[in-house]
Amino acid sequence: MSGASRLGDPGGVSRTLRGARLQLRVIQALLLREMQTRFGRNQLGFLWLFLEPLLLAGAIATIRWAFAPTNPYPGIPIFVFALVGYLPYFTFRAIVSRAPGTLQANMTLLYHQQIKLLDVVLARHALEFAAIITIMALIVFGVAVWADLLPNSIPILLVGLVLLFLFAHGLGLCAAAAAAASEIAERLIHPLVYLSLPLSGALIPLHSLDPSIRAVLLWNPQAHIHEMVREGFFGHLLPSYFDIGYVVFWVGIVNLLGLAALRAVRPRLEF
Amino acid sequence: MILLDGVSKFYAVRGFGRRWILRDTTAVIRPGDRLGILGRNGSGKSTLIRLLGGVEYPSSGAIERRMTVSWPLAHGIGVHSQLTGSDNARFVARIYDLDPEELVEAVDHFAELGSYMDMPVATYSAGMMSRLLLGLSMAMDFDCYLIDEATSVGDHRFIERTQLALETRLRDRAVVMVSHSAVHIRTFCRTAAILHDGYLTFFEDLDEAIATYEAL
Repeated sequence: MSGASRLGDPGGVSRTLRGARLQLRVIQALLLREMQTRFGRNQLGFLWLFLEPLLLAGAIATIRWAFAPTNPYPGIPIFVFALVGYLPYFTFRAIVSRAPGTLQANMTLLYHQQIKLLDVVLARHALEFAAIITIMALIVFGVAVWADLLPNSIPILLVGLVLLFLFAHGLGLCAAAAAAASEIAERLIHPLVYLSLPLSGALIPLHSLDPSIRAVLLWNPQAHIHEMVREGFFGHLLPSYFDIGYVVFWVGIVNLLGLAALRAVRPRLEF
Repeated sequence: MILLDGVSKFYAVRGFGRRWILRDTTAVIRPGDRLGILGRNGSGKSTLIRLLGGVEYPSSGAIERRMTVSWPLAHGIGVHSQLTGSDNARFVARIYDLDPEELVEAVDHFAELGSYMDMPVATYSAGMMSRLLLGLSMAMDFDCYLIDEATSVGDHRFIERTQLALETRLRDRAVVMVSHSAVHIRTFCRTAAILHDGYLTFFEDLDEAIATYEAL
């Protein structure tokens, strides 16, 4: 390429590195800005990021407990079980269904050539991820103190959450691109995300299902992820079914698709 | 240099087919140019400046930027309305790898916003907004400044300060300004073009351009 041979343009690896540094700087600046605009400059608002999903998960756990007070999973407090199932789902939903809005709300940022479409989405998602990791740590700590139950395997729990984040991020990219390209797609995203709840395995451990239904749910990588998170938390208190390779495969697919879709939709954006 | 090579841009308008902003336009903007682009409301001036700034992409053809180009300076664009002037300056500094506090100081010095630097941009008047935007970009070093008409609102004193900066420190920088008002163009530009019906017509003489524009 003639561009790479121009003076002052080293090309190759150093060019990629320079690009990576620039992108990192941009994402850092976006993160700071996102926190300032979302929570104002007072630090109390920052707390809300963590309290919001915690309260929601707590409320749902309470309702569940009220309707079915008998514990189907011996040794596992139902409140903790609900929390561990719902929290990842909330994060997933927050990322995927908010991604189109994130894009639209931040279009004016694209006036700065340094800021790419991906950076805007990535910064927002990183914040959601930081929130879920923090809440999970709080839950682990709380459960250890009050229920005397330590997580079975923190590495599995962490890998599960990271995969959840990457999967949601990839799907979020697809959702954002689809919404930007078509109004119908934009309207479909919310119902689809809600409909995915029963198929996600967030509510029910796969072990308690009929093997034939279990096999169907295991087509959904999300079900594997929820099983992983439960395995990391409860271990052999609850048998789990997951295949990391299968999840990684789908994470790769949705991320590549999302990046390609975002790239394809960028020239068509109207300001 | 900014090269426009056979650039076309249109929007699909429901029921009306295509609305043309630019038709197969080839043009060059050179370092040090002071180009004013005149156009009526809705002629596509803002779209043109977004094309030059790489914010929007042409429908066909290519735009090549061989100099650093500012983001299109237009009312409320590129800044966040809930953030203060200072915080916006810090954000822009981080994006462009400059020292945040130095930029805040430079903007404060140029724009003379005083205590409003620490107020949310949403509370700014149109004139203050343009002072912040011009202050931000002129404190930074671009080869070419893209200015949308709304930014040229400013009081006499500020216009003089901007003119002085453009004649001294930024003398060899290019400016492309779009406006519907011949007065704005006359204040800052040396040559002019008219954007009308998707055609961009260049004039060497400013008075000739303005006379043609006013006869449209």
